[in-house]
Amino acid sequence: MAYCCQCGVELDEHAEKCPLCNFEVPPALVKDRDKNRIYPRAVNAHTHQTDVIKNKILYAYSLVSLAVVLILLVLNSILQPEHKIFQYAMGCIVASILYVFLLLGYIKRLTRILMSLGLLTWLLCMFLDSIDGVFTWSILWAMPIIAVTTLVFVIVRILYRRGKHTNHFIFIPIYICLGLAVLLPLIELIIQYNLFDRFKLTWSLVSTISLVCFSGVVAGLYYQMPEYIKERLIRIFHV
Amino acid sequence: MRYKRKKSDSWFKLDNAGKLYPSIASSRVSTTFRITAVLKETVHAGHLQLALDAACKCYPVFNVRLRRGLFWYYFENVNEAPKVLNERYFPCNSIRLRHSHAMPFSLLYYKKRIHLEMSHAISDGAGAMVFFKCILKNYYRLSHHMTPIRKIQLVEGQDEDAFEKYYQPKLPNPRKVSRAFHFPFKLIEKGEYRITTGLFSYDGLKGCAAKYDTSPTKFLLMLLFETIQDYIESSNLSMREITPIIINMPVDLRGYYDSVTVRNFFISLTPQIDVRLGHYTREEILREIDHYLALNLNTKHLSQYIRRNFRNELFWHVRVIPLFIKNAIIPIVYNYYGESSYTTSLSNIGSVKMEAPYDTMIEHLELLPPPSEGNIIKATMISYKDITALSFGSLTEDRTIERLFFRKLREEGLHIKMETNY
Ligand SMILES: [Zn+2]
Repeated sequence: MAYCCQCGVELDEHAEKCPLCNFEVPPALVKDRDKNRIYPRAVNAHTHQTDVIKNKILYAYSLVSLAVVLILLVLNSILQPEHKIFQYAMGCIVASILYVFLLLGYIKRLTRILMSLGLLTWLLCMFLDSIDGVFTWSILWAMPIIAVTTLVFVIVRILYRRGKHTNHFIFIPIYICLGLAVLLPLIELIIQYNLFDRFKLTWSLVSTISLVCFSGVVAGLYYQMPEYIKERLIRIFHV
Repeated sequence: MRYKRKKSDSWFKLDNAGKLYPSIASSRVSTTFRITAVLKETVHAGHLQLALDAACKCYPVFNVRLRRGLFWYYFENVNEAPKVLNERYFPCNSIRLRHSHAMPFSLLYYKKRIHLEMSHAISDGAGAMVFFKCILKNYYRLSHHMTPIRKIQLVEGQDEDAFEKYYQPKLPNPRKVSRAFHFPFKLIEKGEYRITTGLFSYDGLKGCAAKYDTSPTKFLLMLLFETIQDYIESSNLSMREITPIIINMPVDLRGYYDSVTVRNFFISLTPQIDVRLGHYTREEILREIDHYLALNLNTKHLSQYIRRNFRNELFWHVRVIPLFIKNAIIPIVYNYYGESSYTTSLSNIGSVKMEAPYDTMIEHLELLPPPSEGNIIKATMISYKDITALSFGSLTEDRTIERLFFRKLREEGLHIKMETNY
């Protein structure tokens, strides 16, 4: 019989450590685990079910998309149009299968999903831009914007994890707003630089200020205001 | 009698307490509790199936399927009993209430254990226990070459909605309780469930309670309050995060009202202490519990709670919302209002007795609470002969509460044997 010397409770014969305090039982005292289990090795009914549904969605979507691609290929060979419309369409459809794959969460960590989405979008842009034989907008416009967007969202995600907030309904919107507040000026800078070769902020300032205010108000309502701010507000605005 | 007139296509409404449960059911809020009988020998699946078939004949009220109406779910009687299953999933996760034609219970076995998992949509612990005893008796008879009991003398009102019977429309509402303290622990994966059971002597427990001049239930309730108080005092939570500790204590109303129903008939009492007022000693906690129960455990106050539970059904504007909209809204409302008003719960089904010769087959009984996202740690207890099983069902990896609680019990001099599913 194994005991936990810290909790003083008797443990299962097959227990490797105390369930209460994680005190490790000397390996010599642990009996064969599988033989003496009182609960079976459990199957997670929930993940099992959601996996089945996910697989069905991906399978059905891929099948339909591939059929469409085939039809487009045939049409392309028959019509042989001047314009490269079919190439554009096929590129987008193939990419959409990959998007569905990513969004269904087959990859575990959200940061990885975000980075993959960024990479995929960039590759798609490169491909679409390359169809007419010359790279034009994908280098100057798409690449910096996609890189900045991905970077901002990955950082926001990491900071959110670090924050360990319990109330997701409040904090996810706050973090997204703050992320956008940083992202929009950066995008405007890229646009300004490409168009006019200068760095100047106009519309993004308005959006950033309102997003920051919104998050500030929501967070303030959640945390309630500290006493001294309340006190000062009362002092200034009392009637 | 009554059942004879029932054909296979007869149906009945969900009772008041169970009405919302199919709408809120998910893998983290399964609304399914489990009663386990640990036998002295390995379970024979064939006998168990026959025992269940016979028990379903005795209690046709359980042999039903859940169906969707336009506004509410309802139960439809079926002829064939469900199949017994080898245990595969995490505890309290075997029933998919949202599926079409869901059974409200399932009977599982694993090695020496028989588990009855039942949704609160149809019955509470006491009702399920009546059915479970019938299955166990039949199992004993079959394994000793006796004929199973297929028919029992039906008592009038065994399948009644007792809430409806004792509903008094004119009573005022009971006082609202404030928002309760919640454990800030991280949740585990959806669909998983952690069980930590402690087995100890019932007489030993009574001895411990006697030292404080109280009953075993109140004694354990006191320890649970003290455990949570210790946790709050040792954690560095800000004053804003601390709210009163409120423990949900289900009360079996069959002891207070004249009903023999096997369907839901319980309400939740909510003893509480407010740790913002200062540290409570054991005597002070016991005094709070004693006074609270003395005030509320009488038919006058219980009738008020019954009325509050039942009244919701009568709002016509709630009733006429189509079911699919209810299914979308009710989980949110329930998580916010229903579960947020408790910190945790302690359900005690009491000391269960089986008549001879059936009693010799069973080693001890166990009871598991339904997992709940709003109350991530819940406790239940059940006693059989001299063995009490106290189980914590948890949706978190953090064992602080269980550790503090069982160490306290150990310090009172009880010998505790731990069992877990992880
Ligand atoms: Zn230990």
